[in-house]
Amino acid sequence: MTFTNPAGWWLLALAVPLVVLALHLRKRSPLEVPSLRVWRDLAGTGVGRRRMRRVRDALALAATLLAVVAAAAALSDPRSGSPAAPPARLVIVLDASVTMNAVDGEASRFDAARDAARAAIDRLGVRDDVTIWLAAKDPYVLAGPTAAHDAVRRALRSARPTLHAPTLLSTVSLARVAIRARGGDAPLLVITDAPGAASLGGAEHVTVAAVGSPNAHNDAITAVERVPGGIRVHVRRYEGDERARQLVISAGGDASTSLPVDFANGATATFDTRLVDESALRVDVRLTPPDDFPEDDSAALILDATPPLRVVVLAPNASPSPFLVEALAALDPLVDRDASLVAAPGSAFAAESADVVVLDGVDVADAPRSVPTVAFIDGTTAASRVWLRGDGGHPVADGIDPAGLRLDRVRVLEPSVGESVLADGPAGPVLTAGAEGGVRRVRIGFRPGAGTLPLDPAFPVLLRNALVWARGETRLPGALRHGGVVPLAPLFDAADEARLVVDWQGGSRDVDAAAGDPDVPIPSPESERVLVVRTPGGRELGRSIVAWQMPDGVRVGVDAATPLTSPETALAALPPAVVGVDTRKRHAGPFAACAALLLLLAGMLVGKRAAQPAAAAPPPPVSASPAV
Amino acid sequence: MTPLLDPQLIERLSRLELFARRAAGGGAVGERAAGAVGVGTTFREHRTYSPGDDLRYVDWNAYGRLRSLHVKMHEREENLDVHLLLDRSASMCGGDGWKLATAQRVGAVLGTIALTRAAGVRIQLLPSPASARTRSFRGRAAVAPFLDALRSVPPGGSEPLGQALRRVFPRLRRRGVAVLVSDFLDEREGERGWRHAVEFLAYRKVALIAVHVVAPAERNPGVLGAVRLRDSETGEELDMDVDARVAATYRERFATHVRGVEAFLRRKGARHVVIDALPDRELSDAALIGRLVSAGVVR
Repeated sequence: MTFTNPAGWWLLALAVPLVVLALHLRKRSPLEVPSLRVWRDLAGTGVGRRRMRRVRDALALAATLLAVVAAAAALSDPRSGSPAAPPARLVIVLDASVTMNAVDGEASRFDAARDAARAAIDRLGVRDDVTIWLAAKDPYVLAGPTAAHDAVRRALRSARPTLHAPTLLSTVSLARVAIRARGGDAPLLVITDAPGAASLGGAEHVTVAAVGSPNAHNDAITAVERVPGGIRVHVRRYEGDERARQLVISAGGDASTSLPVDFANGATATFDTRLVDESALRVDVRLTPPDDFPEDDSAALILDATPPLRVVVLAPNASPSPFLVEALAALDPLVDRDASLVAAPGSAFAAESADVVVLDGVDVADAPRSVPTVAFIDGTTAASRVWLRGDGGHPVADGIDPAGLRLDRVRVLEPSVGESVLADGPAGPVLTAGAEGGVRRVRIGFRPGAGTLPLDPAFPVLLRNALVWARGETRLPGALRHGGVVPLAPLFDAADEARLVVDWQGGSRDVDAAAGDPDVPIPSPESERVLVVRTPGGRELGRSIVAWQMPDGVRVGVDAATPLTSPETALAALPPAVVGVDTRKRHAGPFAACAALLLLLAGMLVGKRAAQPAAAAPPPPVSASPAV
Repeated sequence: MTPLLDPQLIERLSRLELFARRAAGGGAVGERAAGAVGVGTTFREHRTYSPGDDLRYVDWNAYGRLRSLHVKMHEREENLDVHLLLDRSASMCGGDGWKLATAQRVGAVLGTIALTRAAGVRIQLLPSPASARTRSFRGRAAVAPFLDALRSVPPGGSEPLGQALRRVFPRLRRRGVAVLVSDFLDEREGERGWRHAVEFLAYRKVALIAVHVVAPAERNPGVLGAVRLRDSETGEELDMDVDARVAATYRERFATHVRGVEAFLRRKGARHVVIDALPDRELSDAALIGRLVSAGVVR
């Protein structure tokens, strides 16, 4: 016989106080009486003399002690026979990859896996130990090996799935190594939604239980990014078969591009596309038709809020150097090709609407005085070389290496007040930059076709730098978030623009720049709105989208179409002998003996009188006496 | 110190008299009346003439009316000593102390009645103290010192009652009334037993009034279970297992014992009265006196 709960024997300690109590209760209460005359008469007739009292008391004490022994034996859970098997071991591997977050019905897959693990633990014998591995980003042991099943259940409650790719195969390998390291073998129960895990079921002592619903499909847009000339969209196929889907890209207005989604190279695909509307501030992408998890089928990208430049080129006979035109065209998206034009000198109306006027062989005096200009001035002197003055830190000269330039005709410039000389030729300054009346001007003492300039990388760099600098710094932040502010200080360098209008499509506010309003708060519209800052005359100084943080979402895929074993089937397939069912018989004898002895003791106690003096009976009343 | 009897009660007791069955003659004349022909100065009654009666006491006026001879009876006043024999053994002094206190109260009542009748009262403790002298009191003026002497009764020893009684016999120089206040629990027999002493008192024609003091706990011990009983006088121990049946049997046996004492004493010509040893608040003076009157000890 074995005792499953030896701690029950500690109940025997109760015997000591019981014996002390019994000895105390057996003591006779002393009582002094005037005379033993009557008592002795009683004793002489045998009344009040219980010869069997000591025997009865001894029997009661013995019965009490036997009841204690029987109760202790019962609590110790005696078992006869031998167990069906030595304590068994069970190892459970739980898939905690990102796909286990999927919700099928009311609970997630991980919850279903957790329930399956609990069911396996409930089948275990009292002494069987269990180990739980979690196939997370890095496999680890969640609990065990231990026979404390309650502790394992508590650890299961705290387990959570991750957002990482599955590591199921490596986890299973580690678990099998650990099993062998402990000696012998143990069944391994793998609970997962991964279709590839079905192959694990063929290994010895490995049973795979599947959670989740099969035959679902999910593709997701994982990233959208701005690339030169367009945008790039990243798409990933999580689960499911090949299915015809389209990637629709919209940028401003109703313009959109539709591309077929092709996963020929695996689970990911990248799509590069040029923006249909280069002035758009936002790009929306979506996959159509929707799949089983449409939340990850769309995304948006907020583009740079800086608008492209509207450039007007003034040249004699409206025929600028083709090198210049080509260079401007190559500056896309900096230059708004659709809004830019070439004009002949004297077309002031055209030049007034430009952001920057480029003069090609035209007198600077012909340029509007309120618009920044970049002037290529025709020269007469040849320059064998050009060098930068100073350290080349001016923005116009940034990145320019004029060492290889050979110019046929240059004009030596005379710097005016407020102008900086950026480069020199043998005869004098050939590149200046400055401002006149608050309007920036860049003067270049040679024309684009003079010499080797068109062939030099310095030319487009020079042109870009000159245009950007002439236009000035970005007026508005790239993307405005609600709750932020629009700083107006950078907008106040135009003396004639004393008033500004801030319009956010549903409301507007006039801002008196001369009064010195420091900034304008960005409102919180119900949805994304475009914020526009313009002059009272309608000239737009800048615009941007008031945007919100895009909510993140984790959408996961589901099982493939391969039929997998349900948890119930997997558990039933586990051999019961290996899992360790306790076949020993529990003894009812101690329980019965304890109950019988307690009943006997109760009967003896009921028949025994309490050993305490009762209250004295009131004496008979003295007979009434006549008054004295 | 609380007096045994308050003055009002003493006044009331002066109207009572002791009554014993056997009148004992005494020396000096007292107020104890005894019936005798022609003796004394107080006419008591007429009696039909019998041959041998003294012709000097024939009532000739009655003869003239009734034409038959009658003699006058006069009350003969006798002076009667009262010996107050107070049992102060361990059985009387143990327990809650009310037995001895009750004995003192009874002795005070009876002794005061006697003193107010100009009789003599002698206090005799049983057993008597080795160095103590018997104190005697006479007359109404001695009531206060008598009560004072009666109040201070020290607990006694374990001498058998009969033996203690025999020790005081020589002091009974005059035949009188003996008031024996005891619990009569001494079970010794023979010359040491109290029964033998009572028989001797009867032989010497001493009128005996036996006041049997019984404690309520003696009638009904009120104890149940396993007890170890110890005799307060002898120290003897007895283990008993008392249940309701045993307790009932005890009560019955004790009542039989009391009746046996009464029967014996009556056979020997004594008056017997049972007084329960209770506190004053439970046994008033009136109840106590009433008990004595009911028993015929006092009238």
